[in-house]
Amino acid sequence: MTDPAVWRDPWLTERASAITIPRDHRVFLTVARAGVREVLEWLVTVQGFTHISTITGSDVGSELEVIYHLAHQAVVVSVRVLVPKDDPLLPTVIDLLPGAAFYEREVQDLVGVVFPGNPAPAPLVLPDGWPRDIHPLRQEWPLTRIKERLEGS
Amino acid sequence: MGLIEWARKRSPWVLHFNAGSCNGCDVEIAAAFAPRYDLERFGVLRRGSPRHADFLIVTGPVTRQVKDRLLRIYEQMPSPKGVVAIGSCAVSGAPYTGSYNVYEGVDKVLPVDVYVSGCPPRPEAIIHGLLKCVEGREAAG
Repeated sequence: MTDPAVWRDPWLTERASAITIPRDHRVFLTVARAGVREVLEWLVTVQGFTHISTITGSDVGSELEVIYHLAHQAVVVSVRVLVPKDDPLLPTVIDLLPGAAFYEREVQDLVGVVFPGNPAPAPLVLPDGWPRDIHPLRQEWPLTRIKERLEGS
Repeated sequence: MGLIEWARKRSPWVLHFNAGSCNGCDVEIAAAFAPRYDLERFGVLRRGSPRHADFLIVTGPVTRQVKDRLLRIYEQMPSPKGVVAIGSCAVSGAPYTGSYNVYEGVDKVLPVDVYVSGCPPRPEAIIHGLLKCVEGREAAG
């Protein structure tokens, strides 16, 4: 089991702007985009978090929030990173966590975060022929606007 | 009425198509064909090919991804043919109404003969819907 002292490691506190542990075995880390790969690599190779449960993406206004949910034994760690909407790039992590491949494609489809380095970034969950610029979970694409666009074309 | 039309009035063979259903309706259809309800006693047989089918039974709200496949299956069925919409999603889209990737019911893309509502409908309702289809065909002569 991961020692709770791990989350007070100076190496980590230097790279994570917030570390919250609301209860046993549940950890939330907030990291900057530049440090996300480094922190995930540390979690995978040093702490043994080799299972990625999912990647969630959401639109929080001017930024997009991406959360990597990793699990190891009973401990679940969520690594939160914000990317600006006008430059929604995040490095791929599938070399560290092969299971992330589909999650990255799903977040790319629905929220529009691009993961450079993903070798197969084709659309995954949206229907065939879906316009590539519509990301249905973005706030600038409410249902009425999507419907107008799809029915107008 | 020719011999073939006469022969096809009864014993309708059906093709089941899942157009985005959660599998709730599909499992009720399976129950309708299982020994307790035994739709086969009315001569209703499930077929694997649309070319053998008289009726298409559709579950699910018809997603954008599946619409073209559904139309293609329908077009491969020999006439006269009928469509039965099974479940609230297939009837009206139900909880998915207004969503960006569904068509809100089978009747948006295909002519529907019988609607069976319910979430999911009981096997009795599915049997009733299919028998209504047979009655309709007999009445049409």
